[in-house]
Amino acid sequence: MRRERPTRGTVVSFAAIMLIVVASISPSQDSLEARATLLDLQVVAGDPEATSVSLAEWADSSGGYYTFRSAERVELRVPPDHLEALQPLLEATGDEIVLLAPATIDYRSELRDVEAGIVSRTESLDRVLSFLSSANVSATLAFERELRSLTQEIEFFEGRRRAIINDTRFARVTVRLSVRSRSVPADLPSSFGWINGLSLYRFIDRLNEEGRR
Amino acid sequence: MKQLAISFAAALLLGACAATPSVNTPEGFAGFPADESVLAVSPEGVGFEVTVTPNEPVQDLEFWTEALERHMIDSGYLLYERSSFESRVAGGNAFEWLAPVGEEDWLYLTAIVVVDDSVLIAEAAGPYEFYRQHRDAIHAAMETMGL
Repeated sequence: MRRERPTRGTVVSFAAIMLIVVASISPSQDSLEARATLLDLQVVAGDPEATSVSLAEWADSSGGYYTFRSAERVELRVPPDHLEALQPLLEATGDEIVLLAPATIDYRSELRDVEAGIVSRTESLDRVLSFLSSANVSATLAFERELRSLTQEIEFFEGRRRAIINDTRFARVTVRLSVRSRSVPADLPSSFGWINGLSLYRFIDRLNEEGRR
Repeated sequence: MKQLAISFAAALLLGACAATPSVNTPEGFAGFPADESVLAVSPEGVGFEVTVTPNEPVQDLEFWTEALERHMIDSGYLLYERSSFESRVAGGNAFEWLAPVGEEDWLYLTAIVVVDDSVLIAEAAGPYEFYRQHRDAIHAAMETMGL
């Protein structure tokens, strides 16, 4: 197969594309809070499907969205300042929140590293581009490889940066739904005698017996 | 010599019996005399009991924790929370489970501490709202478990 030699025009076009890529992914200087909010809820619902639908609708109306929805689990992304409305919403439907576990992730350190990575690779890219116009054919090929590699790294860092920013703008909410009228746990035999003795219903019977004494 | 042999036999017998557990009554609970256990009940009916059983076959906390967790999940209990604590005698692991009792949701605690040839077992249970009210007191009492 005949390989076409890159002309000076090709090199200039390639350099121009690289410059556009770099411009579009250069880091902003916005100061970010860079803290992400996570909220894990376990909800006992009378009608898990209806609760699941209303949670997804609530996420939409709050300026967020849902990433997964079923009658067992809903994953939402909502602006953190809307989270206060979640508990009253669930309680209004008669559902019971049995676990509410908020958490925070501090991304400041990682964000600094990501932005430093973008800056250093952008500077390297600029240097390579400045050499490109005066390079011969073999050097141009080497520069192209280097440019691709740097661009990929910058895109990776920029993707991570976008993910962090998204995590700080939208709290990640996971709601696990269980049915109120779920079946009573069974007395399964264990190989270990004392474990067989552990049962909520046996414990209640024992309390009642002691109470009658 | 005969006296020594009797003392040795008595010591062996004592060693074979499970030791008696000790634990502080959770705040807000009333203690009840019970056979081979420590039992306490809150005015709302939340129960708390500590028993002791021989560590047979001899295993460590990690083993018994996994066996207990697997058994309860396979039985159909819904895991509410898992935690670790330090008792008077050793570290322990606790599970709190959700299960229905009639129309109510109940929380049921199972906690274990392994001490040489004994396993200390704490159980507590009550309707969700009442259990939550006493949860801190129950956990504080678990830290006083001993033999």
